[in-house]
Amino acid sequence: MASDTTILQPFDFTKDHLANKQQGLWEMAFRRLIRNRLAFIAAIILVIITAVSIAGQFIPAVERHSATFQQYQVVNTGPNSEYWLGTDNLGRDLWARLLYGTLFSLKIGVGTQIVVLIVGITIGMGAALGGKISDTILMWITDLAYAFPDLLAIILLRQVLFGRDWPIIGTGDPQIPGFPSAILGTILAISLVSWVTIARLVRGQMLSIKEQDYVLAARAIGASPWRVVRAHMLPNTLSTVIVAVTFGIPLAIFAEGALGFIGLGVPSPFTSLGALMGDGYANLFVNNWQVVWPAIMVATLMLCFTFLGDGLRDALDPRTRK
Amino acid sequence: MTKSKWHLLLSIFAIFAILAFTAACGDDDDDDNGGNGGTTASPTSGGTAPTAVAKPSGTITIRTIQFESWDPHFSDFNQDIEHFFMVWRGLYHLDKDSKPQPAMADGMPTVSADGKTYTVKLKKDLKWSDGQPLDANDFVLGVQRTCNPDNAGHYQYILTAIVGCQDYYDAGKKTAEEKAALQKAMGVKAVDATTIEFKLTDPQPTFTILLALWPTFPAPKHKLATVDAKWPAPMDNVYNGPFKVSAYTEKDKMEVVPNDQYTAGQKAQVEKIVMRYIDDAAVALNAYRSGEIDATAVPTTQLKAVKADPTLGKELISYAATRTTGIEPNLKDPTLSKLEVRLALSQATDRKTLNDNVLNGANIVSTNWMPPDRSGNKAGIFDAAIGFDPAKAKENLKKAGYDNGAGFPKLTVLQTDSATNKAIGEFLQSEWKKYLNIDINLEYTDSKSRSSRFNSGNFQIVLGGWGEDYPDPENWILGLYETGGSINKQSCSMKAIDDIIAKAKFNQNDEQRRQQYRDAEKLIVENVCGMAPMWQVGFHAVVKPYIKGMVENKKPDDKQVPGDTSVELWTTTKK
Amino acid sequence: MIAYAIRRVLLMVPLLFAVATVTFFLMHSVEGGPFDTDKPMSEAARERLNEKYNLDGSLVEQYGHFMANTAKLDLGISISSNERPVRDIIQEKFGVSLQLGICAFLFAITLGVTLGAISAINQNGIGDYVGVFMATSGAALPSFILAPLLVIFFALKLNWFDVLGWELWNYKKMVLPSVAMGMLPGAFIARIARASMLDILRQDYIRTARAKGVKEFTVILRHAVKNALIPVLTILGPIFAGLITGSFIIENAFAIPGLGNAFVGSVLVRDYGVIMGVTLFYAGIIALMNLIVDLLYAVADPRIRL
Repeated sequence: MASDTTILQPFDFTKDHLANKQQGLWEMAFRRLIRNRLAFIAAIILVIITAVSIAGQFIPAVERHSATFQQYQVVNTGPNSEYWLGTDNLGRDLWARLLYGTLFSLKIGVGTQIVVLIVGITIGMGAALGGKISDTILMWITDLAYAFPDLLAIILLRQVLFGRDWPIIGTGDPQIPGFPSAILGTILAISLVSWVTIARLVRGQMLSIKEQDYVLAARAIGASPWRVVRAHMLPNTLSTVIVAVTFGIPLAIFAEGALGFIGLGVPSPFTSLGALMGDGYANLFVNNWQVVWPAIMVATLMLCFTFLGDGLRDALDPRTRK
Repeated sequence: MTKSKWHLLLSIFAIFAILAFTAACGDDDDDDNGGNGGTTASPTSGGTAPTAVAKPSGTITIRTIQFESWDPHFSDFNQDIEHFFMVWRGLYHLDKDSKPQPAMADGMPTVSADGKTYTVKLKKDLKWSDGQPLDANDFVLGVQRTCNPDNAGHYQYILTAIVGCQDYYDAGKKTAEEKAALQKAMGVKAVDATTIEFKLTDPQPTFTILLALWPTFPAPKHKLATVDAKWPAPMDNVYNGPFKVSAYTEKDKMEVVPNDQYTAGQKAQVEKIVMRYIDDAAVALNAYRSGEIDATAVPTTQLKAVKADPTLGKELISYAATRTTGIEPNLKDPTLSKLEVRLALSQATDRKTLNDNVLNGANIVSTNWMPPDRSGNKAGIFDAAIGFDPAKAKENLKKAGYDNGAGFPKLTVLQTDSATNKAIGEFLQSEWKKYLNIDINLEYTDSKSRSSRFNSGNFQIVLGGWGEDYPDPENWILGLYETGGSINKQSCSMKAIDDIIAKAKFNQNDEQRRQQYRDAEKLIVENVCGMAPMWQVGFHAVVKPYIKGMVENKKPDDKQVPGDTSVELWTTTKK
Repeated sequence: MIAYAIRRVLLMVPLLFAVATVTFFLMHSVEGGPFDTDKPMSEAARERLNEKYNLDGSLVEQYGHFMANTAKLDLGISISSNERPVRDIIQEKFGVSLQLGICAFLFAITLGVTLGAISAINQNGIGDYVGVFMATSGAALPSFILAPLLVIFFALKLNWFDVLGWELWNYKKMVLPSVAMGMLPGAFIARIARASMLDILRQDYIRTARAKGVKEFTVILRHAVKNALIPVLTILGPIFAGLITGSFIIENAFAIPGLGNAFVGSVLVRDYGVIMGVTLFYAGIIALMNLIVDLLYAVADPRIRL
């Protein structure tokens, strides 16, 4: 490649030009996103929540009390100046636990969607573009994963994944900083049942785009298949995928919460928003703030991701320009 | 054009939607069967306590849990047993002081001088709910079913004293003829239609109590061709208790109505009892609040809410159950085999703070293994030996070779997953770190995994305990703590304990026998031989004020609601 | 297309076979068995029970036995439900879940399409925000919190509905479970409907219609909403399948004896027969719904060749 550069001088201009145009598209999308007030506010709130919950892990002044420190003299107290959000049934500070649980849930949500994106796009693309046999086989695998009951899959996977010496996700010191085995195991278990949606979405979208005029035209003038995929098909699939992913993050957080609720949650001393809600639910009638804080947090995350997702979709879709 | 295709699709969809809507949610005119919420001030029948001759009236709805097996000669689940006592009765029935009183039997058994032969006379003209006669052979068949290897009853172990029961139970792999011979050879015979004779291998002092329990309930021989025949499902079965099944949907509800063939005792006083199957106790409590059910147990986590509620607080009834919970170390573990380690763990456990502050004061903190009422031991006599004492705990850990926790292996505490158990586990994790400077793992599994791990001895520490099957000290010791005992999964093995149990087992002298079990308890607890008791479990329930007979007949071994082994005493003044 | 449909239906057989195989071996790899209880059973008794439920012999033998029976459409008997045939249990429980699922589905569609249309028409205006906000806030709480909150407010405080159960034709028992279950899919439909409406509103034929002077109301109702429903239609399959096969959380929150409850219960007590039966049933329904969706894709968008 390097030796070719001098010979292909004239094309470089075109390349640069294209790159500029491409960048312009993203820039424009970004500008449109900022103009969408709701999406912009949502993005800012998400950044603040993430920043504060990360800061809580490193700066004692933010965490205020340890999330695991138990004080039996102050169990189930209401919000006050010492414990901003009150304490739980073991006398632990709910503010610290909320930060801890939020970060944990965000890790689960984002981690799940990263795995889902990688698996889903690969399989969806392979099915749409790899020819009939590849489509049949990959879609068969997708159907298999889809038809398998989620709950059973997660229960079984957790039994296989947890507490064993697997590389990276095994017990012991975390291999990826901030992602101990309890998180990775949960992420994998939830991802493995939720990549199907993205795969099917990508395949459907690509099948449809494949037949669009501009793609046919690009192929007719001899653009390489990879270029067609990269320059035309992937970006045009993106808007759909982004909506699914932004919705997928809170859904993964819900899924983890539901698991915790039926007694299959993350092991102590970890906690998540779902686990906090489960714990608080037991005290709904007397200490209702214990369920209120994590519920508000979950609802906020859900709303923010939704608005951000819609904003991104609108911003990325050239036809929705006003 | 594509448009016509779209129209077609839309039309199909619209038709489907409209059809489904009208079919499913269209009209709601006939919901007049609800009946709850409204306050129908119907005249109550004079006094509050109807007499025995009064016509049954009213419906009582209680919350319970779906039974696992309908077969009393097989099952060992709490909620199953609750069901059994509604519709079946044995020769005897335990009264509210847990003393056996004649039920199907006409008077107490005649016991031979050597204590090995029990003869029981039946009451006259007993009938099953379908009108068929109930005679001695039905009772013989019931006992045979419990000992039948092919039925594989969970509670066979309490009948091992009956001659031949164990041999029959162990004959699973033998031929049908051999099994039939062993079945015949069992020491339970119908002398005539109303006389049953039990022959025992050794004189068992508690045998009359066993004749009040479900493993000795009668089996309808006219419904069962052989001892191997399948136990009929609820709606196909026949009953000899105060009630009989009138409706049943799995995981939804069971309805029982008075059994008019039941003549052996107090007749049912309500028209119907509905057992509503609700898994989630918090949901059940909401249903109680809205008036959809009349009685339910209150879980620990809801206790504070109930006490704080002006209405529910008054309807709450709390009492000590015959159930003990504690820390169970596996003595096969090299670390836990050291007595000092076990003592240190027990002494570093602040039971009172855990119970009062974390568990809403739900239980009765105690280091006794047997409830004091049962054993005759005073409450708190073991506090000095194993009770909370951080200084002694540290000292013991040092003696065991782990000064200030140095070099102590990371033990794992295994529990079933529940909100309460999570809190207990996290409490222990934090407290043991504080007082002993040791780290532990918490492991939560579902109950099947836990049972599997526990029964195969594959654990270090579990949190668990024991619920009494029958009201006698022997039920708390026998099989649980002697070397090789069938339920001794913590591998407690001390010669002194073995010797006492061997002496007590068939001791005809009741007071001596009880003292021997007290001695055994002392050895078990002070050596933390597989158990460091934490508390006697508290039973909490709410019962609507218009229901009588539940709270009045409460027993420490009630299953799901107070007094549920004596349903014939329940009355209601509602409606 | 008919050839495609036939091919897909034929592919369902190996699919179900694969689901059954994976489930079978994973299920048996989970710790604990159906006869593990607090009080340990004697070895002899355990052997007898294993024999009774065909759990003796090696796993491969058990697998062969199960497959042979399944091929004969015999799903065996339940271990925990008094030896009832698994098929009876599925029939009974699915009946309840189907009713609840259909009502939740109708609620979800009504909610989703209405809110989606309102949002799209007023893009980035107050109506949009209100629509999106309403759709999202309903789904902002996970159902295991939403359901008890609905119960506390509408059943305990206002006394409008019952706490327990499901009963067809009795609105007191129908509304809350349907709403609690339909909220999340409703929000999802609203988002898809909004996106697809926005798409349609920019199409040439809408502009043409407006230019012709057709009333805005007619444009939206006759042209936009109708056509925007097509992409919505394609996601309804999986949503419908998900709803009618029951939700453990909702069934637990209202004590409804449905399929989700039965399934989780069977997993917890290791009732192998019911686990396998329900898994196959789930898989069959979902595979069928997927096929329908794929066919709908083709019908709705003629550019997709199958």
